[in-house]
Amino acid sequence: MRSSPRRPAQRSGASWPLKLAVAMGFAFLHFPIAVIAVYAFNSETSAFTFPIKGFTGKWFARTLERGDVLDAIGLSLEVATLSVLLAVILGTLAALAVHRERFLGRDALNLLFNLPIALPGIITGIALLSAVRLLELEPGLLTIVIGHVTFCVVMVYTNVSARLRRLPRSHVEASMDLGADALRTFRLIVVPGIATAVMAGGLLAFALSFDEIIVTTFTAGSQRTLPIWLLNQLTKPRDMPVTNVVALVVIAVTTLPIIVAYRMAEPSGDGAGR
Amino acid sequence: MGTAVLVAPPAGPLRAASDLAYRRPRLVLWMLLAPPLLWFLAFYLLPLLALLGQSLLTFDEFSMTVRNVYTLANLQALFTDASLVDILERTLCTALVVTAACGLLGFPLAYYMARYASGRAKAWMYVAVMVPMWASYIVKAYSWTVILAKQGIIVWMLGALGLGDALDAVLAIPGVGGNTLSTSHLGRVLVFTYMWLPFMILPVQASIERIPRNLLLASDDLGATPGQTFRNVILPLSVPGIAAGSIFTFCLTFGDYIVPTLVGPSGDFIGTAVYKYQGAIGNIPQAAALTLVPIAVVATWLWLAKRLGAFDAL
Amino acid sequence: MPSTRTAAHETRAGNLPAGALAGTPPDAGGAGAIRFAAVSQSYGDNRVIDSLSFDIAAGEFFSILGPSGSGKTTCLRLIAGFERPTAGSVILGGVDVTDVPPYARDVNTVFQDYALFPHLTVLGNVEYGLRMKGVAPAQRRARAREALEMVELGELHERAPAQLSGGQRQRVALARALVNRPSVLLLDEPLGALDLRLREQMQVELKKLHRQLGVTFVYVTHDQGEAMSMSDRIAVLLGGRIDQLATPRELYLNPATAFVAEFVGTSNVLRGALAAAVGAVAPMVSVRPENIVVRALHEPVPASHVALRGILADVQFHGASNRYKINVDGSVITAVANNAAFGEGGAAETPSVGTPVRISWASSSMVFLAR
Repeated sequence: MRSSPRRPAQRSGASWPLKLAVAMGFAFLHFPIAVIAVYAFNSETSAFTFPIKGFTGKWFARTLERGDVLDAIGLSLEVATLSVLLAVILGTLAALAVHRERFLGRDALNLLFNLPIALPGIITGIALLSAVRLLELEPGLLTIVIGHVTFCVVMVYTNVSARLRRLPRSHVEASMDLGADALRTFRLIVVPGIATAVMAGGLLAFALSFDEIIVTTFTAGSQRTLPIWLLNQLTKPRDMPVTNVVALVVIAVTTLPIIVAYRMAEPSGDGAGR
Repeated sequence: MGTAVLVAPPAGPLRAASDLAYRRPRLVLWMLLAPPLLWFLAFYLLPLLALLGQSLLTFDEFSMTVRNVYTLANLQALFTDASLVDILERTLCTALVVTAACGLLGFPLAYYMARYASGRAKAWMYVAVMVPMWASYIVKAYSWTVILAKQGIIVWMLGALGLGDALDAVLAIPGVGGNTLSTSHLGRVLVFTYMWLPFMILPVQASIERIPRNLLLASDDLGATPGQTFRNVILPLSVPGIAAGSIFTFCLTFGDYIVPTLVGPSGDFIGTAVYKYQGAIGNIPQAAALTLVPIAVVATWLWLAKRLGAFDAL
Repeated sequence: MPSTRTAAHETRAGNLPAGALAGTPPDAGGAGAIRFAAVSQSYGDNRVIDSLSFDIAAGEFFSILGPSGSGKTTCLRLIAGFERPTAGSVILGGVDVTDVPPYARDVNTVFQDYALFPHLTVLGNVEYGLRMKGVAPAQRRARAREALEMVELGELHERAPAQLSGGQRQRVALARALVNRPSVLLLDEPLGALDLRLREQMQVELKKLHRQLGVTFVYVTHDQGEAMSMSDRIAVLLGGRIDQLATPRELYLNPATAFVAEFVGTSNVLRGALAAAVGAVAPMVSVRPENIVVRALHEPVPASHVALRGILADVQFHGASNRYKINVDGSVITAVANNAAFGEGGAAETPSVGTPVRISWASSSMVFLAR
């Protein structure tokens, strides 16, 4: 029963309280990042104080001179590159295996390949530590990479799986029907179909590996990747300015691959044949 | 012409391999599956199971070693040991509060993005949500320590607005406050909420977007006010998205051990306790027993979320 | 039996480019002959095809007709080689191909979703099969362009599949299959996604291609009108078994089962007491609506007819005909009367709804059904 004459439903715009809430929400999301950006230019050494007294760019130069920073960045890059390479191979194989056809245990395998990200990082970390001890490995680059590969595989696996689900089976059958054997079909039809998904998964895995701290602390031994270096810096307040600069650079470096990966995994005008 | 029933094959081992694959599809499956499966078994599943098995062993406190004697003591301690119960409670409470906060704060953004934003504005909003999501975790945590510090921004701002006393009053509330803002429960919840907010926004946004327009038109056609449509149509249909987002906010809070060390009152979370036990102390059995809790809780939460349709929303 | 074929002189000038795909005469070496020998296909407990045995002659237009779930697409996939049967063998041109992969069989398929490769142009798609066989680039490009001309898409060879309409994609899929000159062409409900006008147009073109090329066509569909208008023979499939395999005419005039009677065309199937009332010697009787005449009770019925009494429940005007629904002892019988026949020996007037009527048909026009 309509109690009063009403305007037809309109979506002409949101109410102002909603708009205010949205503005505040976005401000909240970007506030800490902005703070880092600002403090990176702070002229004072004790960077905890506010308001900012003056601005300078000298900390950027100072950071480049710091050997420990460069070592940490180098190690993180090394770990990320190696992990992604391995993860791409293992993750793509896993996705291809699980998403070909139905078989007994398929759901369980799907769960297994998602577990390292589904379960909290401490569990992955402690499992890996247990593995390292069982296999009597020396904590170092190898063990860090082993840890990172395990969850990087999940990134590649989910991306490639999602793409495989969208590729019609008839394309593979059509290729075989026209005379291409299994290997040629894989090379000519499947690989072009999943290429961007593999790359997107790889990029996401790279960013994840570069940023990872929880699992790494379990398997790093005395090595310091960049996140571990940052964590240590929290106990050194006088080093704050350099920390701020590094933090800002890290944000910039990890954000870019994400945006690129996002565009790759969702191409507009995807020609799926229909 | 079409006289041959079989097409003359290019000879070679690759062709032979393909033919074999046709006759034995299971073989191909195993060949593809073996490397990743072996990796996961060797470096994840089996060590994890071995570790959990250790929770049944005894830790001799006097010699600080693990003895091969089976006992349920470690598991029992989870229920009986006051300090352990304390840890579990603290972790669980924080996770629930953070989930609620993320839901409340994130819903308006998600709603706006789904229903009122379009085209380029919407794309920019996506980026605006994803950038903080993917920005380095440790950098974000670090940034908050700076912001919440006694000489930091928030305290300064509140002081400038004359709200310094209000802040002290809030900090005096037990269970919410603490000695300073950065050692208060409020501060810790604030940081957690910030960390996981994008993980709540995106699934909820996707969920609301998936509501067919004609449902809203039908609701209007049947005489509902916008408020009624919201309560009776939009909100229930966005539950899968909220459930999906809650998986992240809950599970990530539950397993975190960096933020509780940096922000908030002293007192361990499950993560910090596990780290301590297996570290210097070497009490692996107790650490393993503790690890069972997040596994069980996360599994339960995932099961609940699945019932609410979260996996269809992801 | 394959219908009569006139190959070369049936083509119009300019319709079929010289030397391109002029068909081989039918039955050449029996290469396109297909045999199913006791073929069964199961997925777990689900038996999709149950011990099927039948032959398809080389060069014939053979349709597999049935409702969804009847196993017809599975039959096609077994011929193509995408699946291997759980029992029995598939024999092409006298050779057992059960273990032969799809890429080694001289069979090409037109898929229901066309399955055009999105990352290749139209030309790239059509020449794919030739590329796999190792045909030189210049030659395969020329043959592909000829095939596209044959389906009247010559100018579109540079386009991407995403830029084509449904009908155009369907024709590209057809060209892509035929350019390889296979012995057998499989078509999996290829016209389902097209609108009515386009569908009828394509039916004519497919039939024309079949006549020109002499290739065995195996056509799967659930549309009986489509199957009837194009096929030399039709296998009607139900629940993984063949209910009847015959020419369209035979299926229509002499259905073997109630399902065939009702699925191919429309029919009234009388059972039980009603069947007995018209003198059936079998459990069921099939009568086509167009054979039934509706009369008022006082009108005389010819001696060669059997008759029943009922109440006229509904009359529908269908332009060229009237469709009557008569209630006879609880069963509803449909009769169709050509409007042009009025006043010439058919019913003299249209009875009104609700009145008692007498329906009758020639006893020679009804078919007794055992099952």
